[in-house]
Amino acid sequence: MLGYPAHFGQMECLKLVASPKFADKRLGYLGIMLLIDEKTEVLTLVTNSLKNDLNHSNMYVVGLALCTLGNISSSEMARDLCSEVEKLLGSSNTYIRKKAALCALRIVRRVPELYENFLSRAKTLLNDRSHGVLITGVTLVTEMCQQYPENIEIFRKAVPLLVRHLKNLVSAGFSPEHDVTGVTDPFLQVKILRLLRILAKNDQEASDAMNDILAQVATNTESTKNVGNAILYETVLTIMDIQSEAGLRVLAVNILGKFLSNRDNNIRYVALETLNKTVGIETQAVQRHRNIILDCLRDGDISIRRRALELSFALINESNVRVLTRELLAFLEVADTEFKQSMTTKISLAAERFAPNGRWHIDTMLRMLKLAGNYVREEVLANFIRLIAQTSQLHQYTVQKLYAGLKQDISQEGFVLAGVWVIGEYGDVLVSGGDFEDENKTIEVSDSAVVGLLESILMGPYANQLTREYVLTALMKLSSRLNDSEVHQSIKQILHQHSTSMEVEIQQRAVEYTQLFSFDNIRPAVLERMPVPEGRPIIESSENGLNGPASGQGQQKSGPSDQDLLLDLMGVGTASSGGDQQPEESLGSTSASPEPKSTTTQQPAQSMDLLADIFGGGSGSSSSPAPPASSSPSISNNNALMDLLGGDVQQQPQQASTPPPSNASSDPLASLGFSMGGMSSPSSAQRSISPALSSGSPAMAAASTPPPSSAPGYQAYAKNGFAINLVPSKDRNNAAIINIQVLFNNSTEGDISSLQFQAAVPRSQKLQMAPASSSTVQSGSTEKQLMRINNPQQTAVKLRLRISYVLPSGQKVDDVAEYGPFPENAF
Amino acid sequence: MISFCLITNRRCQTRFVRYYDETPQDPSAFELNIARECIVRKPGHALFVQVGKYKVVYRVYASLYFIFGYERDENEFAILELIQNCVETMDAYFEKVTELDIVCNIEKVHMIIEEIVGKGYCLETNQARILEGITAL
Repeated sequence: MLGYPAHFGQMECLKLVASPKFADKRLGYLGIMLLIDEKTEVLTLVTNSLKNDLNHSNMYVVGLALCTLGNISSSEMARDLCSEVEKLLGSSNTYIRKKAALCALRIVRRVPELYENFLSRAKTLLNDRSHGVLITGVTLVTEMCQQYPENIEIFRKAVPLLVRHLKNLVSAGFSPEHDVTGVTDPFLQVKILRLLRILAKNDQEASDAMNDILAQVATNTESTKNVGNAILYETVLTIMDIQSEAGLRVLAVNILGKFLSNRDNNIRYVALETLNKTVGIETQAVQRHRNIILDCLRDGDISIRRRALELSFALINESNVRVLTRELLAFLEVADTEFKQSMTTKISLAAERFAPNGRWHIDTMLRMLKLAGNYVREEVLANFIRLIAQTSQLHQYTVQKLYAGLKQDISQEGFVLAGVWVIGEYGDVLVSGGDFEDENKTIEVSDSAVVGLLESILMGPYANQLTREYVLTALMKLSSRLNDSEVHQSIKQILHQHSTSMEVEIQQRAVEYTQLFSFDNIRPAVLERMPVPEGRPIIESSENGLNGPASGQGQQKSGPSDQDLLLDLMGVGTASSGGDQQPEESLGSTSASPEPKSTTTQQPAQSMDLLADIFGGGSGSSSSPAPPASSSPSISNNNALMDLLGGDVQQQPQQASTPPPSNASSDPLASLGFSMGGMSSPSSAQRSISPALSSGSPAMAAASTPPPSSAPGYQAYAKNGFAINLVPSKDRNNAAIINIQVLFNNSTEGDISSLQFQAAVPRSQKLQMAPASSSTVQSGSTEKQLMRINNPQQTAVKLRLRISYVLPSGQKVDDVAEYGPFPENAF
Repeated sequence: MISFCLITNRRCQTRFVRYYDETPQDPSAFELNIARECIVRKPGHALFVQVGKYKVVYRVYASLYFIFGYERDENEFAILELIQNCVETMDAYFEKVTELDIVCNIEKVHMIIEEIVGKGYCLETNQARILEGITAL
């Protein structure tokens, strides 16, 4: 009780409650509510008095009892007194009904199974005339629907009723008893809007019924006062959640836009919060307000800064990645420590996904490490190192930049670790590059200078054990990269110093490395360059929880998230980059229109190619929905697929990377004795586009080379005298679009009819098919069909084809074929 | 639903508190924490804060901070209006309510707030009807 212990009062309160006077009862119950909570045993003693009072003649007493019951009832009490409350819900007195409704609410929350008792009563409550009862009734129904979605069906019928109520409220004239600064009972309006939102969430019919009233409320409410804003806010949330028509959504976004430019911080906060929730649905609209959002990043108010930060991350896409990242890095400099870790993770994710080229990517990561190296997570650092290892043409640039940075500042742990590793690996490149310019200062580079730097890091005040380990290893690597004997001497000396270190790991390394010096013949081999590591996904922690639940339609937000990451680092971009809807594998028969993303420049990023290669193995293991399994390819079909692969062999791009590990399962068929190894088993062919194409290349190249196809283009399918060739070409106007002419060639004696051709592309691409020139292919002739693939991320184009046709003999054939990737010089 | 309702003054002294959900283990420390977050904010800032797992809406009247906290999603503006409503009702009852009124008549304040915000949900917003329940005493 305001912080002081008050157990002595509990028995007195019980005595007061038992007394017949109202004043005593009042105080007694109040005391009980404050002093006793659910867990004390004294509560059971109260149950009897409550039961009596619930049946009292004085309505205030009944109200009291209901109130107490509502506030502190335990589950046993709730069960006992439930029937009483139900009776009171039907009482004629509005005061009692009102309180009983809330009491019922509490009971439902405590003992969820009891809600069925209240269903029918709740419906009648919604018909009530008194606003008090209406509010509580609506709250009760809302809560029941939230806890038990089955109830939503039942209460959907009440939607017209609610709409009528709302209409009355909005269009009613001035009503003195419910008026709040000019608006009639805003509380009730807000509650009704919220209930409507829940009821109509996935239901088209109900949403239609509400469209009018929502539009009316949105336009008529004044937004100058806080009340008006409250109602508008709830309306916008409702419009976003239900399946409203386009005009309504535009209205909602406009309202949000007005909110955002308001000077009052409250309103801006609310606008940012709502935009966070809806950015997945209306990305285009939100992009327009990007500048304002970036301004909010610098606001003095921390609540606003937090919201703006989340929103900014959700907004990053290919076109604005440079600008936004620059802003975010600037913010990183001044951000509070609580933000730094999540910011570094998110920035690195965004950079990975949308980097226009390798150099920009490395620059951004470097800058980020310099600013906040102490707060980066291990995986981010590991990914950065992997990235450096993969972009071999930028090795010199990277190592020079890191060297210059380290000369200036060795306090940021992440930066130091990355720098030390890179200098160790590529020290020779650094030294051979000689002196270089960095920010208008010439940095001198020489063997001894490099070793001196590493030594200073080792001895410096910032080095912890991890850093020291890295430095020792780096020094050792340098001993084989640099050939100056003085340098060798100083390295030996440093190692000697640490061979008596108290830290076991350091001592071990120092001693072992010193020994290694005496094995000069194998030393270079031991200290060779590291092989390029494979990609591993970064799992982002559940920071995204704050972004609010996804809308009922399950649309993804366009910011980085766990699911996206897993798919993404495998080279498959998410479908929601830039506001697309449901991720899908576009079957050719649907005519999804690709939005030409002509803003992306060519991405030579080799890291992407590497990941795209792993894509084949990745989509099998990721949680993406399985592509439609065609008629199950049995073992006999493998022959046909083998033929395909035979036709594809010489078009394999030579990948130097290691085969995707998850396709070790390619071997079962090899064991069946086929000369072409590396074919994925039928079940995995159902799961993923055949990835083995790349892994089996050495074995396959040895196989017999098939005859070159007579028709132009690449042969994707050839069976029963029916061949399909693909002729790809780049679109003149848009570099991201590839046109593929599909040629169906019939070399049998009769006609092939009922031709159906469907195609699917990997997730990051979109497919559009024009109708075929004819569904019957005459003997000896060729039919055409045009496909357009939008490939904004320039991932490898692979196609999964589903073909069905009727042979001249009358036999129906259903087949699945795969083709891809197209070799580098295809277009 | 509203999780708690707190009235404190500028020196973080709790004048009135009511919990509608779990009472925290150490209520005074908890209240101190919440009050501190609200008091340090400057006048132009948004009136909505996040403290731990609670979202908090607060409003300042003279030297008193009226703080409502909730966990799930609620309409922030509606809660602001609710606070305004509470204060106006108390004004009507006490004839220009001051901090002293709240301290000396804490049980009446409990009763009023109970009528308005019963068990964490908005129960009644009409001042006349709220006060009729109190004056029947």
